[in-house]
Amino acid sequence: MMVRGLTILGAAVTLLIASLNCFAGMAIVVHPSNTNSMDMDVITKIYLGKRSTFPDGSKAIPIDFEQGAELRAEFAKNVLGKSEPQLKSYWSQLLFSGKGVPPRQVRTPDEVKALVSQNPNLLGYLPSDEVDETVKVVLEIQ
Amino acid sequence: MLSKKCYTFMAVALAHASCVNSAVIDLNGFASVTGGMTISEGETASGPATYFVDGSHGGTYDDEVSFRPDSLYGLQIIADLGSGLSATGQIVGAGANDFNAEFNWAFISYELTPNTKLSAGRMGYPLYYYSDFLNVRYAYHWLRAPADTYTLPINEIEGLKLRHRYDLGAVNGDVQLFAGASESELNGFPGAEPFHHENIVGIVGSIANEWAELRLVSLVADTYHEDDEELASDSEFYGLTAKFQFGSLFVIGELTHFEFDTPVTVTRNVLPTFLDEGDSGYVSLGYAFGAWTPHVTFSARETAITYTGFGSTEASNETVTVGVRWDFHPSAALKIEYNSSEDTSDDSFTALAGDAYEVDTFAVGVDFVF
Repeated sequence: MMVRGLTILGAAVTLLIASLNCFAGMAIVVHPSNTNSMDMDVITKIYLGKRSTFPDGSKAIPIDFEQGAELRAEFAKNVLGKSEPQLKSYWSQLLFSGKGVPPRQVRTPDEVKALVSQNPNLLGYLPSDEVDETVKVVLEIQ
Repeated sequence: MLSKKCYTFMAVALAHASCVNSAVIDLNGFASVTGGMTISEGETASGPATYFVDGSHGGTYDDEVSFRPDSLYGLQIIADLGSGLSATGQIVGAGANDFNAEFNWAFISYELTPNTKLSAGRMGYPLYYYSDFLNVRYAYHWLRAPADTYTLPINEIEGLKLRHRYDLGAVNGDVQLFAGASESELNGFPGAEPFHHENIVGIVGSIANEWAELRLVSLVADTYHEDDEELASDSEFYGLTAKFQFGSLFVIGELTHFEFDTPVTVTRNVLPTFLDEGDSGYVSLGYAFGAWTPHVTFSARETAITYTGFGSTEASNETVTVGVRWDFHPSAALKIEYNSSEDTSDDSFTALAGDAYEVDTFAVGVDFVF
């Protein structure tokens, strides 16, 4: 009886915490054959156009979400350390001075998975709960 | 018939790429719609005091509201031709030039390695920190970059550029070598005539970590007034920029210096004038309060000029700028800016300029990127 009560209480508390935690977690994903291990620094530099290769020297092509996507803003803030206007200003500087182009954009996590699972050079990010066996996770961000 | 390569590119680039044969074309643009006027009690020999904002096109504010000096539009097209080759063209139309579209840049680039690119054609001249994207006002906090620092109206170079990007983990940055020729006109200067820069050789490098960035530029050239090729002068330009970001606070400072071993003729028409050397710089501080970024800047310049009949003098200027940027839309920013510029030149110079020791300018604008 007591155990059951505690279990229900435990479940309720867990649900409460889960609902408060709006940011459910992101996973950075690559093609399953990509054996690179990467840290936040490498991923940030690839997404900011400061490097275009994985640690093993192969070409790295990042995929981003379209403007307006909530995950895009969270990624910009938590991984790249920039607000959306700051990120846009940053890319305007590079784009219009001929130094680089911003990552290609897609609309849905399914598109990210479809592309990343077919090309060993691609790098993308997804909500953690959207990860499946077609892609490999290189970093998890809570 | 679209090639397989084309489909791959297309799948990845949904937003704004289109396929023509096997090239991927990106079209991007920027624009500023800005109006302003001067607020001053001073009068010069030729009328109310004016504020000269744009050396390239001669944009000047006076005591009547105008949308010309700071408004502009730009379009850039990049064609990815595959195998590391791309072609870029940029057109800019400035209000001060009646919004006539001018071909700013047209160059091709080739990726020698993932981190090294060679470009040839008509490109940006990287004199100042903001030179490469000076017209893309959305990209920085000011309504316009400090007019008394960004003085030399030399914006394009025709030649070659080699850029290498490096990443050492703790620090990263780039190094660029450039060479070529350029032509410029001191628009807004009475009787301005073109002058030429040839045999330009320069280097610009940057080093950065998470919170700081340092940039250094150095170049030499042969400079001469349009008709005086035999009297070409050795010119030198140096610039140093330091930028810091501490959370929501940023600070940026830039210092530049140019000199000619023999003074270069600027104009022969109104009053024979020779440019000798000059220094300019600024310090700017800003803080991001959510979507609002207020900022304050102090800028100054000092230029040694010789006026035939009047002798050598130093024209100098100090400006305090206060402004705010409001990111009210994902692709647009509202800018409000107030400049108070004081002429601190030698008496002999101000005798020419008249009684306009101080001129204040107020401007409001919206900057877009698309």
